[in-house]
Amino acid sequence: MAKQLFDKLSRECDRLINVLNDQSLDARDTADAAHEFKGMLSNFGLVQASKIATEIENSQKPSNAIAENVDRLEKSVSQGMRQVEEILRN
Amino acid sequence: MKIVIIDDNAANAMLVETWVQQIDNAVTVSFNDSAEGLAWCEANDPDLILLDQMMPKLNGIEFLKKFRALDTESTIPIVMITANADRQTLYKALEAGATDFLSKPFDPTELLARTRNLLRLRENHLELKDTIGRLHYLATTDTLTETSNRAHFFDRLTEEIDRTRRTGKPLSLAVMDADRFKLINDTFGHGAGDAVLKSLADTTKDVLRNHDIIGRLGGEEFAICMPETTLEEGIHVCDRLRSTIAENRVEMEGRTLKVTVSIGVSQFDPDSDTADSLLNRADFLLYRAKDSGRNRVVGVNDNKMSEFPIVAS
Repeated sequence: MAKQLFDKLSRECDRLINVLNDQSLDARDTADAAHEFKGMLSNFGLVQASKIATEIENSQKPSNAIAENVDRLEKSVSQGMRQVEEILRN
Repeated sequence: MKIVIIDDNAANAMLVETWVQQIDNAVTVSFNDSAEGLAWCEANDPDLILLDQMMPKLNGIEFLKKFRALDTESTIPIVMITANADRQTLYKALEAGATDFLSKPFDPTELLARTRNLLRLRENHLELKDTIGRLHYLATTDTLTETSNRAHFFDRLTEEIDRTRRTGKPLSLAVMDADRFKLINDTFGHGAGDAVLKSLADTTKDVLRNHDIIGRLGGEEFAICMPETTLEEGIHVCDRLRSTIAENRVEMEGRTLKVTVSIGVSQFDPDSDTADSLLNRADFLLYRAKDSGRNRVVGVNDNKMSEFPIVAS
């Protein structure tokens, strides 16, 4: 079950990163995607990544203006997921 | 207990489901599409819904409004789980019908505690509803024959009389009595008597139309309210009933009993009748049927008490 959850989380993270990397989203759609990401990350304990998603949500900017933040978010998510994977392996 | 989880984020939905599956006797159903979740909830009987707020197409508040419009008793608990921490979202959710509210990131212990509490309330409500249903049944039903008891029959007769006065459509009443019932009881015992009454009631329900109302007045006497029915039509229905009963046999501990009934029928006169006067007249006609040989139907038009053609056995 833990592995299934991890896989599901991993897929959702990939999906939402792809959404935020889509340069055509307006400010509202970007905020909505960031909001969803924020909630999911916080539920799974990826607090730092969740904070970055909150910043993106609150910035109220379209996707073509947040590339740097999305990059930070992606790195934070990867780091968080590695930690989760490590815990699962042990 | 059926717990429905609705969250467009598959990982969130799975996480919530993983936690609530720890609850004893819980069966979980999960949806990532809120419209599909709503359709399922409308068609089935969920015991609790755990609902995300921000969802495409149909968000949590919209879901609540649509679902509560159908769930008129609003007894199914719905917990909104959202990352929206502002009070406005909370107020909107509660006004739309949310029972409780959890913020993301949710504390699993809190999620389980709130869910268990709400499920306990739901169980109590269902038990209460069941008890009320049974009490209503006992208060209105003659349990031997599964027909209306006297009091409930009178209530329904009164309702039909009111409807007749409003619409101008006819109403007829019949009173039916098992012939030589005392002899059956004395010869074969009260068990046989009960079997006969049950058989009469079952046959009557089979023969009568869907909108007719049958009640047991007491002993071996039944009343039949026939809305939108003239005297002629009522006599026809009752004679069909009489002949069906006469042809039937009641099987009782290796014995086969033949039973007949006598029936008095009268039509309601809106200018002069009350429920009591209508019943008294039908009762009088029943005894005319008994006196003139039993196993027959006697009907009289309005209050004149002049005998209508007797339908012989």
